[in-house]
Parts: sequence; structure tokens; C-alpha cells
Amino acid sequence: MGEAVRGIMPRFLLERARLFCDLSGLMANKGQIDIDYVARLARIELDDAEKARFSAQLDQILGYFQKLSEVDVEGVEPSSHAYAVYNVWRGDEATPAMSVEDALMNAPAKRDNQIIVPKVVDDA
Amino acid sequence: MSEELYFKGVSELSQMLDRREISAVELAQAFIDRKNAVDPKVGAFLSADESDTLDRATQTDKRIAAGEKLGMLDGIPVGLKDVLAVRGQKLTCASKMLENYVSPYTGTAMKNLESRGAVFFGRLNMDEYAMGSSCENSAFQKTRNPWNLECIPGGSSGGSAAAVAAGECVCSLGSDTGGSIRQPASLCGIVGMKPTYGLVSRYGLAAFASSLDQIGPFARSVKDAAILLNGVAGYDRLDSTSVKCDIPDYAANLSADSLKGKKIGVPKEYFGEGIDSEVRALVEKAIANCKEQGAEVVEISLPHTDLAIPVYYIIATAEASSNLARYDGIRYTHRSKSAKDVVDLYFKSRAEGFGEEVKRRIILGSYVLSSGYYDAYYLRAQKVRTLIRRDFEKAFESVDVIMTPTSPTTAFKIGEKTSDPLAMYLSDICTINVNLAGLPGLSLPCGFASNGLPVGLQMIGKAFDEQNLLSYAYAYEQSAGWSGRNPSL
Repeated sequence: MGEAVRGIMPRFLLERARLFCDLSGLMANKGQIDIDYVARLARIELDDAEKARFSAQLDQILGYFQKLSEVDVEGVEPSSHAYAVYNVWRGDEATPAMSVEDALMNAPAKRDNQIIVPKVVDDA
Repeated sequence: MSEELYFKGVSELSQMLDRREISAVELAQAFIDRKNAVDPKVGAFLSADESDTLDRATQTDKRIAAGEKLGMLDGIPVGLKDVLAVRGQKLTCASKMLENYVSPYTGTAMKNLESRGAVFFGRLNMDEYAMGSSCENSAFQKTRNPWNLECIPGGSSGGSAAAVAAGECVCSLGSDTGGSIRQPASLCGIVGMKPTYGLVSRYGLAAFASSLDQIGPFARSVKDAAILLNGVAGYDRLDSTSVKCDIPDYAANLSADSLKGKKIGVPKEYFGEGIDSEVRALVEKAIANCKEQGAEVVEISLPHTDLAIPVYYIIATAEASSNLARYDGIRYTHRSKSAKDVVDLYFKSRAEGFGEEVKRRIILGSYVLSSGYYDAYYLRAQKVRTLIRRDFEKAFESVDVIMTPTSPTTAFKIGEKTSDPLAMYLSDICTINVNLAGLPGLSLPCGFASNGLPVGLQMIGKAFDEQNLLSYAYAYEQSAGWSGRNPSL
């Protein structure tokens, strides 16, 4: 194994150092991520401390992802799986399904074979 | 008696059962006793339904009495990562979200094991939803490395690895999305294998990243890993990515001279800086051993290697953000008691149920899939994934197997990387390419560093070439003799 081989880490470490220098700039313009918007998309309530922490960490991670923009992917097909997977069909045959009792055994609130949820339609 | 039992392999224990030197119930009890003795230190088990384990062993004893033993796995205690569904057993994914969840059905891989008489023993700790490389993201407990209790066992299947290394079960199942079987196997000094994507059904494996996830075995020898792989592999119509292929008797076909005349590819990108020098030296020594057995060693290049981390953490988090949308507080998960309305119920249940790393990854995945960023991140990552796959396809035109380190370092200290997610992500640097390419990968011990911790050699094979991959590993194991060393607890 040659000594001069470019490993996996050096580019990362360089970028890391660069990012660290840039971090104050990133923080100043609130970073790349609109954390309120993305947390809404993800349906997760975050407190202020989490928002600040995740924003900084995700900006750093996204900065690291930028190396993908340097790659020439002209004409390259995207892989959604390791192998080409086409539609997989099966016969439309009736088979025994899970019982209602089993399907509801972990429901946090239930009554009459149904799951109780908060009201979704206003009275007015 | 039990001291002689808990480090024995599957075939030896199976023979003891055949010869009636021990009953399956006695064997199960020996492992229950061992678990109760050492797990307070190791912390591999989240729970164990001991009466269920003894019931299963009783069934084995009845079959043996009737002359109807089902094969080598019949009566063998097998641990399960707490992400695998067995009807009536807890399945928490090491998350508060599923703290009280009990599986209403059994997944296919576990059904296959049941049909061979395997005795399930224990629900093993993991990083929450299999997201992590150290087991420190479990919502419930830390698992410690049996070789040094101050160190992590690796992750995400850290409990599955630690339990086998500590002799708390004969072998175990884990899941591997980016290295979650091979990396903890390496750090705990045992054998761990991620099969080719599609060989083992994912039905009954709680999904993290569906295009990458695969169930696979942990064992203290290559032969035991082969036996357990045979126990779970096979086509399943309930998993549309399951592949129909011939599955040989892997264990019966292992050959100690299989490396003779074979070409080993050594990718230069996996041996650069960032790989600990002792790890590198031991892996190079292992490759030299293979050469002495008559293999030819050629340096190869996998030029897109350093793109694997961004590609993986885009694709895996995108798929996770979609898969984990099902944990909504409505049907079978934790439900917040302080929500104002149904939408607030989603937000609060997920805020209370998910841990920090899971939230971070769902948010990252939601971002890379969101309008305006999809092309720049997700689509581009899928294209680079194609380039990574092609690297391997090209390499395998001229070599039979690729050998690399499994982990860039030995096990690190508990707490060392918890505040730096990016540093933690880099623990997977040697393993994630294999998931992106869908190939089979195996880690087996290749020595110990001066800190006393084990080092793993990763072997990567051609798609669905598990038989040869296991055989090469067996040949190295027989020659080098690192498997079978056990920690003292």
C-alpha cells in the first residue's frame, strides 16, 4: 500500500476545518435550514434549544454534503435500489388477515373495535 | 457445567443435544443463568421472556424424544435485535415511541428460524430505530463492550454483538443499513454478516431505510454464521424486494482451501489516512495470510469511495423520514397526553417519543426531500449511488473478493462522540458503500490492537455469492485462528 494514497478522511478534515472557519458566517445568516419549516414538514415539535442545536449541526452536515455538487452525474441513471426492481405482481387471492383484536392490541385508546382519536371536525 | 457451554458453537451444541448429553431446556437455562450473571455488566438485553424461551426449548426436547429433531438450529438459543417481530414479544426499537409495543405477528426470517426449532432468547439493545454506531442512542440503556466495559460495543446492533461476544447467546440476528452488523461484530471480536440485499426477507423488520436494510447473523465462528444465515434466507412474497435464488447449504460447503488461486482486491481508498495505523497493519497482515494460502492480491481503486457518507446520509435519512411517518401517536405508539387537537397530537407524540438522533435524521431527511432541494440532494445522491455501484461492478470483473478494514478504529470510549453527530457518522466509513451497492459483506476478527481490543477484517463479495464469501472467511479463520477468543467477564 503506497504512502501517498489519498484516504477517505483528508478531504473531510480539510472541509471540516474550512467549515469551522465559516461557521460564524453560517450562524449569522441563520444557516441553510429553515428549521421551523422543516420541523413542521416532519411533524415534530422542537423546543428552542433543539432548534438552535439542530440548525447548527445540520448546517455543518449539509456543508459536508456539498462535495456531491462537484461530481459529474450527467447522463447517470439514479438508483432507487441496489438492483433494478420492477413492479412485482401477485395473484389477487384472498388470504387470512390479521384479526381486529391483534391489529388493535397496541392502540393507545380504543372502543368497540375502533381507535379513539381527538375530534377532527369542529362543532361549528 | 454451564461454563463449558456458553462459548460452544452451534454444531457442537447440536451434537450434544443429539447424543442426549444435555437437554434443550438445560441448555436454555444455562444461557439464562449466564445472562443473569454477566448482563448487569454488559447491558445487551433490553428484555427476555425466559418462560417463552424455556417453552421453546421444551418443544425441542419433545422432538428429540420423538426422533424428530429439525436440524442443527433446533434447540439453539438465538438472540434477536429489538427491531425484529415475533408474535407476542416486545419490539421497542429501543425507542420510547414503542416502549409498550408487542408484535401481533412474526416476521418471515424469524418464522424461518422457528420452523427450524431455534430457541429465541432475549430482545437485544440497539441504537434507537437502528440509527447510530455505538448503541448510545438507545432510549433505555447503554451496552458495554465485553472486551472493555468502558467502551462502546458498536452499533446499531450493539446488543446483538455484545451478547454473542459475552456468551449470553450462541448467536444472534441484527440488521445492517450502513454497517450495523459488521461494525459491532468487528468491535466485539466476532463474525457478523450483511447478506446481499434481497436474500433475507425484510418482512417483520421495522424499517429504517428500506433500500438498504438487511437482516443478518452474528456468531463466534464463520461456520455458525453460515448455519444461521441458512436459517433465515429465502424468497418471501411478503417482501417485494425479496429475490428468488438458489440457496446452498452454506455451512456444509465451507472449504478451508477456498482462497487458493483466488484474486483479492485491496482498494487503496480504504487504507489511507483516517484508518488507525494498528488497524491497518493487522488488516494488511490478514491479507498477507490469505496470500500465503495461494491467493493473488491486487490493488484496486473504488474512486467514488469518499462520496459514500454524503450519499448514504441523504438516502438513508430521506427513506427514514418517510418510513418513520407511521409513528404518529394514533394507532400503536406512544400518544401524548397534552395535545390540543389531532395535528398537535402528531407533533407532541413524536416530540416525546423520538430521541435526539432520530429527530435529527427525520428532519434532515425531510429537508433533502423538500420542494426545491430534492434535485440537489436526493436525486443527485441516487445518481452518485449508481456511480458507487459501478465502481464495485468494475472491480468484480477482475477480482473474486474485496478486503478492507471493517471499522477505521477499535471501539471508542462511551461518551466520546455523542456530542458530534458528524464524527459519529464517520464510524461507518468502511461499511456503507456495501449497502449502497447491495453487496454481501462480512466482518471477522483479524487480531487485537495494543489496547486489547479486537480488530475486524471486512470481506466484500459479489451479489448472491454468499457461499464463496463465507468460504474465503472460513479459510482465513482456520488459518489465522482469531475466532474463538473470548473476553473474561
